[in-house]
Amino acid sequence: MVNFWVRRSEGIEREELLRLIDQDIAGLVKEKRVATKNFVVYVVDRDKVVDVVKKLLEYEYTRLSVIAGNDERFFRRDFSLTYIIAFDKQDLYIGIRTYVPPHDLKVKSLAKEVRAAWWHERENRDLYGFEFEGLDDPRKLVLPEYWPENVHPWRKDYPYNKPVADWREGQVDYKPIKEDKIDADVVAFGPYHLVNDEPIHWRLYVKGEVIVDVEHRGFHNWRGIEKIAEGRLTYNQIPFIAERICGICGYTHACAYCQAVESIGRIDIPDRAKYIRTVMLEIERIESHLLWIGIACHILGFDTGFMHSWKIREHIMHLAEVLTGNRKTYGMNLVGGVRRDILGDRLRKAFDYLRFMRAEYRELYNMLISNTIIAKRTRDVGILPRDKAISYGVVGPVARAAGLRIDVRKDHPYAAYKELDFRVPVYSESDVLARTLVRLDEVFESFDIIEQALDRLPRGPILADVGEIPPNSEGVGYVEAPRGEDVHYVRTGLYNKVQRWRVRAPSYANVPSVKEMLIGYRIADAPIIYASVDPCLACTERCIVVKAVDNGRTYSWNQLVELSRKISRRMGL
Amino acid sequence: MVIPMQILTTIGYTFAYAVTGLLIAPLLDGFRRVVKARIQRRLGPSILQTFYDIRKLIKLGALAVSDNSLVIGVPYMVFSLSILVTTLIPIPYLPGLNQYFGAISLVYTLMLITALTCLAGLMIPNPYSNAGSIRELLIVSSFELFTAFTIAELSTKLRTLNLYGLATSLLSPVRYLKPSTIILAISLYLLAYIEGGWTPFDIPEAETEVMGGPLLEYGGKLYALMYWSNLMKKYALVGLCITLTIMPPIVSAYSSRLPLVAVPALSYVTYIVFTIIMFSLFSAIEALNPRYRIDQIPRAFLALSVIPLTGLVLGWCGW
Repeated sequence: MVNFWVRRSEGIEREELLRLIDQDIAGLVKEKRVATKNFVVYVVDRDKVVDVVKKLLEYEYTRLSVIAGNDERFFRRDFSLTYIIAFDKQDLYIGIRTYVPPHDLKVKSLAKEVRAAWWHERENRDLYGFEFEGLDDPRKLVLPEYWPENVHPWRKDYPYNKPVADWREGQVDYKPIKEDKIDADVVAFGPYHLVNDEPIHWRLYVKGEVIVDVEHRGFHNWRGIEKIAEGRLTYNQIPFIAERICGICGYTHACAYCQAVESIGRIDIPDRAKYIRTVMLEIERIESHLLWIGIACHILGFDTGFMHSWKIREHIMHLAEVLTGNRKTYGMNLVGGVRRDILGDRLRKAFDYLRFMRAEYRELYNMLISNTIIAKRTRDVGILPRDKAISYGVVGPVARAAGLRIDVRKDHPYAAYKELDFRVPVYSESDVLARTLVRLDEVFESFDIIEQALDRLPRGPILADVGEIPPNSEGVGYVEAPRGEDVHYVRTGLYNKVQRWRVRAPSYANVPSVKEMLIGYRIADAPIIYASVDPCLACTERCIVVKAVDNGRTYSWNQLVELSRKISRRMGL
Repeated sequence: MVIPMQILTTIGYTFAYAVTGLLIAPLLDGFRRVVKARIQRRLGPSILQTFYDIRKLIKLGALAVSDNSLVIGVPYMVFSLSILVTTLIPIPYLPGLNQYFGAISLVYTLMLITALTCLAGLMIPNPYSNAGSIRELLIVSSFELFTAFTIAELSTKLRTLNLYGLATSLLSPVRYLKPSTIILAISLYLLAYIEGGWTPFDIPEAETEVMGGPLLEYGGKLYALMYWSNLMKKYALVGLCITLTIMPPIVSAYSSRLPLVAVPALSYVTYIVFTIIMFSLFSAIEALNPRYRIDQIPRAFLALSVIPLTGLVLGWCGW
């Protein structure tokens, strides 16, 4: 039994809290390491790890953010599991680490009591072979059913490019675990459904139209890109692959990764780069929220809202193109800052765009909030009770709609957020309407943030001198993505490469909670409830497919310059 | 054997009604798309796009998930019944089959279309198809009270239920300048909008929820027939409203001043023009509304039933 959030932590300084934690877990800890200024790692025995994590989660505003497994056999002949807990009011991340010998990978499961651990434990079981005692879900999470039980692809002795085609011969179909136990009809919502842009399977057990139970199977697109990066790509190559994790919030991934490495290398990036990152992150938030608003309207049968929203979204993507040269996947970030500056003449254009978009968005906002049918369809639908929201460790608008006042921009300030004035919208109803209102309000805040950041854009360099990144060090990078906290755990290796990179996108924290939101509601509500967490499966599954197509055409430098000029002329620059 | 002139005229007009229904229904859908597109600030497709869609679907051949003869036969039956419904619209001075059918027969024909669609939907082994069919049945049963009150209102007001009789009896101006007549008109438009399955009442087919419901597993020609039938049903209901509300005062205004030969043609043109206008208006309403959820419908319909009931009471009182 975990007593979530029973101990007050708000108002307590970081050092004081660390002292309290030291007292709480004294006797259980074997070692304490201060990895970065706000990432502290405690090493504990594996039979104590669950108790320690539960103890820490008793503090207010804490979340189990990531459980990062690692194959450390080449360093110390063990596997490790690091339970990373966020302390939101102290700008602190605490890692509880345990080492597990390869011949006995048993660890006590936490998933029954802390639902945030559910997917993490299953993933670590699939990829490293950990055995979580008491984990009540025997199904694979990320690997396909046909994958052999004793092969774990994230172990370091498993080649990243090993073909899996041979194993497909013994194809095993997905077996739902509840179908025989429930007296209800089955409605398959996905993997391919009209409202799912990405494949996910929700097995809805229904009586009439009412959903009585739910099963999930996803990760159809899981490719394990972290494995591709580990030991192969250099620190400054990874931001580009990180940005390609998601077609909507890719910049947040690149930013979170860079911040993790910058924290390890104690790199203070230039102020101008901080502001440029802030501007781009907020552009991405507006773009993502407008995309979501459009989809939500479409799901409710309100295509006029969908079209208006996406029309404004086109303008924000145009603004991104003006500032970076790309509508999406800006390719701006490097460890130590950004690659491209924002030029003066484009700043003026950006202000014009923002004024115009704000007026257009105000019109859309008024249209949506004055529509009674939208309110009727979303109020008291898909409620996620506060205690469950805490247990699942939900983040972003889903958490803020449940009354949890957490936002990485305020709680763990990064980029230029500390210097900017903005509000964090919070609602307490925890239904689809509250999640919608949080996003609708956030768009206005993002307009404000961009305007402030562009207005105060400091002069100076945009890229810091990056010295040597210390090997065998670790850090956490975090960004408030449009869907919530995006965390990248990085452990450095030799030769300017990462030894371990773990991406935990916000949807990875939010999607498991959809099960709780669906039960008791109707088939008609299922699409909008699922959509209300703004699921991004590309992020969740860290999917990236690089299709190298040789079309036999090579552009010369002059041709590329001419093409760029053509685009600039089209955009009136 | 000499065929009486009246029968020839009836056959001729009925044929004209059927051809009009078949052709104008996809055309009106084209208007619907363009109106919605303009409200959504986009260009939208050509007005003829629905014809192109139907042609493309027909070329694909008959595709259905089941080889059950009822499942395959229903699109043909529904299509035939929909053509029949379009021939029952009582345009003044154009007496066709509508002379021999009453409002109740029309309601039953419409219900038969719904029943056949639902029956096929329930026989198809697909939960979305089944859910859509059950939704359709729930809507029809919830809407019965409204329909019954509207028909009672019609019969009280006009002392007849013969379709052509209804249209012609309204040609007297004294009849439509009363509160009960205005309420009757409102009831009829609501009936046409809801029964026609316009958003927010397109719940049985709700694409994003049940992916087309009973129509989900039809493809190619069979889907084209169901789709076309749905358009004809929408058109017929709007047409019925036009003939019983807008047409009488307009036709009565010009019929006495024109030669009798010209009146049917003008009546037909007036009818087409107003049908397009009304269809466009319905499209605009549709574009501005999201979809209701199925459980919100019975309560909403119960509340709406007060409208024809008020009209009925006022009609009884002679207002």
